[in-house]
Amino acid sequence: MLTVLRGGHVVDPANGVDGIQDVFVEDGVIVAAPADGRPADETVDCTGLVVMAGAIDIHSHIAGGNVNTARLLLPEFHKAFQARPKKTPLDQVGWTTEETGLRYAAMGFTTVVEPATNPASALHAHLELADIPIIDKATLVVLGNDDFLLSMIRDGESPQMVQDYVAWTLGASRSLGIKCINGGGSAAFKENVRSFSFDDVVPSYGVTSRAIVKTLQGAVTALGVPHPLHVHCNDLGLPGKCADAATATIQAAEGVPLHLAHLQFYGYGREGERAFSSQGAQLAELVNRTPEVTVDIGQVMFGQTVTISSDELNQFTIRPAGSPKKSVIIDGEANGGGVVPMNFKRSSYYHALQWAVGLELFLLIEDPARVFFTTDHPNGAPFTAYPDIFALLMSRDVRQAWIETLPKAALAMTTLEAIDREYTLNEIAVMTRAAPARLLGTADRGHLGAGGIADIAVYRPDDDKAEMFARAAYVFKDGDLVVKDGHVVKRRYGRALTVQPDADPAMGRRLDRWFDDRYGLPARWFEVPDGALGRDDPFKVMPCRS
Amino acid sequence: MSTAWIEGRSASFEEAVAAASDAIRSSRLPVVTGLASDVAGIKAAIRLAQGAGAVLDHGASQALQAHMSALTEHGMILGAPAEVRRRADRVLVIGRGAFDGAPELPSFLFSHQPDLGRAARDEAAGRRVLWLGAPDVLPAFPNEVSVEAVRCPDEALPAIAAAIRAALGDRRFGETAIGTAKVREIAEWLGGAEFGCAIWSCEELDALDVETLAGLVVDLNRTTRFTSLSRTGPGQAYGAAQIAAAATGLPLRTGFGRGFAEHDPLVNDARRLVQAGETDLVVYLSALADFETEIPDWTGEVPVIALVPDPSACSPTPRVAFAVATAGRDHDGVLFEERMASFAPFTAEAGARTGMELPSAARVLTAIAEALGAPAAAEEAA
Repeated sequence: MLTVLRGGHVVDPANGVDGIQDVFVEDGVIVAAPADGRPADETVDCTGLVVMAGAIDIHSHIAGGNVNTARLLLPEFHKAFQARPKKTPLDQVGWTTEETGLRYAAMGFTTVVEPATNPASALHAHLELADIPIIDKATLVVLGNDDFLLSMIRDGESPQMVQDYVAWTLGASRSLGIKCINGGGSAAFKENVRSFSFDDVVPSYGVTSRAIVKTLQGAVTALGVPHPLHVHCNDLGLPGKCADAATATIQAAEGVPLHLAHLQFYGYGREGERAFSSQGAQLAELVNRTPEVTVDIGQVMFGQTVTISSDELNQFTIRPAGSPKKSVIIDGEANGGGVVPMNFKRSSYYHALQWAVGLELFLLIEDPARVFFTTDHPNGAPFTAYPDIFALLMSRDVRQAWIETLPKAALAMTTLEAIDREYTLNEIAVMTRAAPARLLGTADRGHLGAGGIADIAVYRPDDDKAEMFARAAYVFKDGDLVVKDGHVVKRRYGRALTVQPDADPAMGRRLDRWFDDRYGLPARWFEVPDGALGRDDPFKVMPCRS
Repeated sequence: MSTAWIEGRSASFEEAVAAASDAIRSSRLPVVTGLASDVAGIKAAIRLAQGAGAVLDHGASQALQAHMSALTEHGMILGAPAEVRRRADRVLVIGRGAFDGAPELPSFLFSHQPDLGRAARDEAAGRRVLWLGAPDVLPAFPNEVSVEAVRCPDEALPAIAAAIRAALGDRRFGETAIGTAKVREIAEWLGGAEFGCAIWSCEELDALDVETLAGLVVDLNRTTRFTSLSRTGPGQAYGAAQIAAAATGLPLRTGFGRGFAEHDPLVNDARRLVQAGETDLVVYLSALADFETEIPDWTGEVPVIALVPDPSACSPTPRVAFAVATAGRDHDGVLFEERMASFAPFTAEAGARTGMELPSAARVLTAIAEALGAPAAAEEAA
């Protein structure tokens, strides 16, 4: 069936389009206007509406062991426990697998990446992802605190061996890319190290975080995995040290692609009475002159949320700042993790400064193709806060109205009030559509050109940009109309996107023996089988670069 | 061969599904419990409970609830057994039933010489185990493991744990069943661990006891590293809790009677609902290899829709019964694996018995939910 979205303002920066145009869809794919003038079977009138590709979220913790631990830790934040549910941010977090899909879809998001899957709980993550309706999803699998890799680096094994191990892990866990979280930090914490920076050495291995990051960056690049190594730096949130960690990591990219996650949490200096100041402008400037580096922000918004991270050392460290005062810390095999509730308050100097640092980074990093739109859900805020963030980026007046409600001392430590920039719709489309597709290597989406899958979000323009982006007028997933006027009208299930670089079968045999001998577990328990998820055709393999 | 029965009489699958859905439809408050199944079976049971407005609880969730209460009220530091096996230098085992239901666990943990951390670097330090509240006869440990047994009644354990916390914090504490000097000695020994682990089973503990033990582990982490294995009972209870949390946003013992999920571990206790006469129908699922598959006595006289491998063994006769395949043996699937602290895939055993011909629990539950006309959960997000 041929469908035409007629007369909308198409914003498709991947194809250089920003104007009135029709978009044709057939069999779930975007097609060129029929050359023979064949009439469409169905017309969706988009006159006066804005038409974009479906949005892509590259970093949102939506599934897996740590996410689920947060659910178990915090039943009181479920809406059934809230006297006034609509007033409480965590009512809106999409706390169930189902709500996650429905709420993302309502905002016009059609692909979401869970960025921290422990290899040992890859199956758990995929079991949850398989229950998230509508959207496509993907995982990044975590390496860098695992004995196998650290031993390989210590023992000077060849780059080819490391590549085989990385390839095996990607294939077994059905992931789209590799994440390194405080590389070596969790391993060091298990030996009671309480602070771990980029050039510190993991006890028992004699390996630095820098060596771990560089080794993984090299392997990812050599394997042709499209998504660059995705790095969660050391010393997250520690004033002064965090900015040093991010700076050192960016400088270590050395011309090879590298992605830094939630840069906001590294944007703090030690200036001022409270020894807590903004390094946002300096980090933005560094990103601007390091073209091989991309970042996402991890914007903080105000309200109750919960931090979920495989950075076990950091999560252990921040427990005193948590609210309510309870947490779960997990000493996993290889990777650990931690779940610490956090209540970001408008009245707090520290939290207001964090909010401002995120916006400084968004606004001072010049290229919208290198800065990505995240709250590090739910760490900075639930993803349901996205519409408000779009409004903050697109309007100086909206920012000023927020600033006036926040502690002046905090804002005085930042450059935010002096920034005039307002994102255009085209820049929003770059940041949330064209650039993420390029970053992830998912060329089938993020644009509205012929051949792309028909993931399309249509918005009703509004001076109130939060209102515009909160409820899409229409959303199509693979050509199916799934959302109308912000309401889900059709339930369907997407797939998990993966890469499958070749690994030498000898590595599989070596890992069989190693898992059996060291952990007493069969290696196949770390492999996610097709049939385990209860869905037909649950995966879509994306190509690696040759 | 019949695989379905109504009031003990052989019925077609479709008739039994219709009878089950009729019974659920006319029930005032059905309880979906047991949940001793694989992930597919548990997910299907959750969907049925949601559609039926039922209460959802695991059939053996007493230990799970003690663990969950400590987790949600206090928080915990938890470890993966596979990591403990490789790294732990000092292990504190608490209570005579610490390894109940997992006789292979001591061997899994201790047959492997530690090869990470201090226990690996310093062979003389090795790995040492102190069993507080040890049984008179210790289960088999691998030969090379040195186990110090400290005997005391189980009921004395919470007070001893509290006293050890006090000793660690240099606070005063009263007399305990093992004496003040021993308390101080144990506290000092625990504090000397480089990566220690405490192991207990929640089966014989109440929520406050578990909270005290969890607090001891947190206290130890002020100066060293210490983790815990808090064991939560048999029959895939923890797996069911995990799957329920993702699907409903809440731990188990959740009711859907008011059209949305409500978690209340007291109100929605399946046993209590039966004993208090608050439920008039139990849907009971138990079809795991190596786990009790009979309907438990506590269901009493309440009518039961049974999903078990062999309903002929059920007494009293279930209202409706389905013979279902055994997860972990008769079909492929996914189970929560305690040693891995996560989910693992399993494949059907070669030459598994006639169970290969039986429907899976997931298939039966899905058919009942469809017959019930259970609407898919709310279509609208906002």
